[in-house]
Amino acid sequence: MSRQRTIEKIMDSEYVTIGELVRLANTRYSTLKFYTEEGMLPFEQADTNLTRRYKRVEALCRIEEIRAMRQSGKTIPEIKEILNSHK
Amino acid sequence: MDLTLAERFALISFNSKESEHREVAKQNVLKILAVAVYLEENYNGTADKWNFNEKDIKVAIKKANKKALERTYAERLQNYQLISRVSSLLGCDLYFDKNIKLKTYVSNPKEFDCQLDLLKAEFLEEGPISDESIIMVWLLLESLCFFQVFSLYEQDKITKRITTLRNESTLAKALYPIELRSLWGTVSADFLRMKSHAAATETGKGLNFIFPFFERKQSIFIDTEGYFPNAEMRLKNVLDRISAQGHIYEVLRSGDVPIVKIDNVKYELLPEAIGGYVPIHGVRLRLYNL
Repeated sequence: MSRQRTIEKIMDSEYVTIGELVRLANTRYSTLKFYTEEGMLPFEQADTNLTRRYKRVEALCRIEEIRAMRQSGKTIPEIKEILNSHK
Repeated sequence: MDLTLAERFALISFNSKESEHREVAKQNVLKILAVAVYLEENYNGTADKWNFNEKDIKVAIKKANKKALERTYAERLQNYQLISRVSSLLGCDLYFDKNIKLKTYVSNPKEFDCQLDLLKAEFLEEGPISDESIIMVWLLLESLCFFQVFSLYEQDKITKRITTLRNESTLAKALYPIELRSLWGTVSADFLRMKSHAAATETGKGLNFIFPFFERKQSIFIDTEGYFPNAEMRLKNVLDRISAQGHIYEVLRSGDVPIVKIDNVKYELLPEAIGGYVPIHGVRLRLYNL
C-alpha cells in the first residue's frame, strides 16, 4: 500500500486518483464514484485492472460545473442528460 | 442500465433475502414492491405527475399477488443478469449443514452500488432531489431495507433531509406522511433504529459478539479447519470457502480484523476459537454497518 500524497504534491500532479479528488473537491467518495460510473466525470484507465486516474484540472472543473448546476436547481438525472448531450 | 422504479426497488431490496421460502422481511418487501408498481402505473408522463392517494395504495397492496410479483421481478432482473440465487451464507456456518437448502438473492454488486450511490449523491450532497429518489427512499424506509443499506451516519443525514423535504417538495409532502407499516412494522423499525445506534457503541459491539445466538445470520462462524500463523492465510482460507459456495466478495480492508463485502453486505471477520474437546479456530462474521 502506497503512502498518501501530500496536498501540495497532489496540486502539482497532472493526474489524481479518486481518493485525492475527494480531498481536493471536498466531496463524498460515493458521489464521485457514481459520477464516474454514469460517465459524468471523465477518467483514464490504461488497463481494466488498473486504477482509474483523473486529469486534475479537468475533473475539478467538471465537479464544479455539476455543483453549479445542482445549485441552480437541476437534479442529477437532468445534469446527466445535459452532460451527455454535450458529448 | 435504465431500470424502472419497481425494478430499482426490487434490485436493492431483494438482495440477501431468502428466495425459496417465505420470511417476514421478504413479505414486507413484496408489499412495498406492490406499491412501487402502483406508483409506476399511476405516473402521468405528460404532466410529469405522480398520482396517488393513501387509500388506493392500501387497496393496491391488498390486491397484489405477492408470489407472482416476486417471480416476475426476480425473473426480469435475472434476464438482465442483475440478480442471482446463491446458497445462504449460513451454509458456511459451522453450526449448519453444508448441504443447506436455503437460497438467497444476490444483486449484481456494480448495479446495486450504483443505485445506492445515486441516492447518496442526491441526499447527502447539496442540491435538489429527483422525484424518483424521493420515492425510492420512502419505499426503502417503509420496507425497512433503509436500515440495512445505509450506514448509521447516512441514515441520520438522510432522515434530516427527509424532514426538510416535507416542507420543500410537494411530492414528499404528500407521500412521506403515508405509513404502510403495521404496528409490528413500526415497532420493528424503531427497534432497528435503536439497535443500529446501540450496536455502534463499544458495549453494543461486544454484546452482539458474546451472544451471537440472538441473530445467527448476523454472527456466522466459519471454522478454518486449521490454525494459521498469520491473518492473510486465515483470510484466504475463509474467502476460498465463501467463494466455493458461489458468493461474491470484495476485501475492503485487510489486517487482523478485515472488512469484507460479501453479497453486497459488509462484515468484519473476527478471528475466534470455540472451546470444545479441542479448540476450533475460525472467524466470526459480524455485520459492519457503522
